[in-house]
Amino acid sequence: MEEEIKEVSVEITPVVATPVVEKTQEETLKEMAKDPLVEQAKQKLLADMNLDKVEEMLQQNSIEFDIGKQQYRVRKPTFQEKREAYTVKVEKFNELLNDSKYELEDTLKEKYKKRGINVDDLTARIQNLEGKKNEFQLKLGRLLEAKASEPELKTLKDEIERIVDDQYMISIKKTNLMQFSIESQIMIFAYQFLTCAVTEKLIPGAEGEEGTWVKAWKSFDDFTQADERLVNIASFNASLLAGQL
Amino acid sequence: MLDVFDHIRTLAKSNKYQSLYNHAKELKIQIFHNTCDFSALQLQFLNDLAFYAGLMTDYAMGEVDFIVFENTIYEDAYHYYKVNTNRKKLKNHNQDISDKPTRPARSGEKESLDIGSSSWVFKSPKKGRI
Repeated sequence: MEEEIKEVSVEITPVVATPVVEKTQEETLKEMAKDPLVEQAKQKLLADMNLDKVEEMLQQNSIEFDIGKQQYRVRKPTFQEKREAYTVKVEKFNELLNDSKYELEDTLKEKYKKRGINVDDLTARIQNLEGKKNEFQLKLGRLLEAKASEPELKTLKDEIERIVDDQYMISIKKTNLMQFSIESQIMIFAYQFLTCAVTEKLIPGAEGEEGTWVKAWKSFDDFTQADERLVNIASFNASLLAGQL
Repeated sequence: MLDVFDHIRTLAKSNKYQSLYNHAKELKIQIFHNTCDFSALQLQFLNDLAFYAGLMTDYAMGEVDFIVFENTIYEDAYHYYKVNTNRKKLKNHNQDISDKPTRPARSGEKESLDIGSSSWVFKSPKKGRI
């Protein structure tokens, strides 16, 4: 058998020297930032920094923070302040009851129903998912005790994760729907009142002397007109210290 | 927004705080600057410390593998299962006790005293021993 000999043509392309462009420091840093390893290290560093911050927050029953050059602190509310918050909550409730702009939760639910949104259904779905989650947790716990294989554990873990995500989404939807109810409004008001009561700012003392902490706002009206960033940070910290009202 | 409660769990699980928690009573170690009037955050942290101390005891006793510490879902699921199992055991135990007759022995009936596992307390010393 005769072999066919094919002609092979080889194209020779001239090598053109590409000019070497010096990268600026900024460009190099940008490229480095895209590196997944650098990104991973950055995330780890951020997490560690947050961990340090939380550890500091844990040390005492007050949280200090800075806004600009001013030092603030939020302390744990006293029993008296909690009682005051409860009293103003009741007063606000009565005030909102006479205000036609706001509705009680039950009335709001009825209105939503007419528009085809069933809030009670959302609650039932959350509870139903909680039941399912508990079932899977029992199964997973049993498997962990029995020292089952990793794939078996992972299947249940994924299932629980999915349920928790679903619960979270429904819960957000429900909160958004009910946020304008009188009940939600008085809770927001009570937390605002408490934030105003427990936020203090540091007045620096004379040389060698310690500063003194004074109330950050003279009145609740002052608080309502304060810098939004300060109010948000103070409210968040106050909720961490006070817990549920 | 920094997720404070996730970080609190991480801290409670750390060797540093578990070690402090385990020695706090005997060495009178203070975990916080304040000794009373704890904030909600501090109370949550104390709960988490106890939660992880329990898990670590179970791991040390060989009741569960180290994989349980791989993620919070495993940790929560195992804890939930353990609490439920213990509750069931306690319920059955209480049921057993309440099912037992409490009436006094009738005439001719042999009276028996169930001292169960505490019987070793009343054991007579073995012969030959002082």
